Amino acid sequence: MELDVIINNKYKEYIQEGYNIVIFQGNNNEKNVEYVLNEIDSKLHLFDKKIRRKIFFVCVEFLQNIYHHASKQYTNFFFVFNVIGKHIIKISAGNYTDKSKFEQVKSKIEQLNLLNYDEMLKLYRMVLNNNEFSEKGGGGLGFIDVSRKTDLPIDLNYVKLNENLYFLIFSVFLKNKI
Amino acid sequence: MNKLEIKGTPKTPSIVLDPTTGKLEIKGRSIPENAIDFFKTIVDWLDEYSQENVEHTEANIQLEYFNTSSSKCILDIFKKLESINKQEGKSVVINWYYEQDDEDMLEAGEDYQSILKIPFKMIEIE
Repeated sequence: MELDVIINNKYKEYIQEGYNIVIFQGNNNEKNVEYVLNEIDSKLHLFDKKIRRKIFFVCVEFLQNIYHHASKQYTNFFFVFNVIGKHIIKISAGNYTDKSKFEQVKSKIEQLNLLNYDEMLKLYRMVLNNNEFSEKGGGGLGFIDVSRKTDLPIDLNYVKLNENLYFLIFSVFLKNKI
Repeated sequence: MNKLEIKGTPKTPSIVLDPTTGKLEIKGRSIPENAIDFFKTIVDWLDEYSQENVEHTEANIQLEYFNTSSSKCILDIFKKLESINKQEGKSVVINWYYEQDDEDMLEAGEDYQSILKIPFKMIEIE
């Protein structure tokens, strides 16, 4: 499929950036998400204890976000967890999505990236306490909490495939405490 | 009223809710894809428990990780406990355990502490 060729090339860009810890490309289903999480779990011992929990948390949020919110029609996704140089851990995940979700997410990430730590904390507590659940059981907290726990702004990359189809790639960064 | 015990799994915490002693325990990892389904059992149990005449309730929460899907469900449970604490002749305390150097779990406890009006103790463990 032509779409997957484009995505394959993007995947190759990401896996060539650094030292790969866990990489995956495949269909978005429970079995594959489980597999990737187990792989990540098995590699956490490579990192300082202080950062292991953050890594796992981010990976869970990214993978579960894909599981719940990615396109159900185009199910190919990728996940790349690598180390750039000695000190930067990069976690990236890419999935297909439609135009309206893409615009919502893009806007959300852009707004989050403008907040300082205290503003982020205030937003997190407000959303936590707002008694609202999304239809997938989440509550709008995922990106806010990922942003709060990571060290640089969330990077949003994308490929516009047609008028209504995008491939979105999120990346976050953590400082590897050696 | 019956004790509720749910064994932990790689994605869900162990739960022990004892109406005789008033001790409630949630321990382990909480990363289910849909936390509402998992935590509903606990919420329903607490609704029934709130009608019992148990003077003092102690909730011990010791989580290794929890996803954001769990965050709101956990707050729901705490709000049930808050309502019980407001009942005449009853008291509730929540003990939030976090490992030494686990800043994220400490912060998560502070998030809940900032929202709730109930005794909420942060307990560091090694």
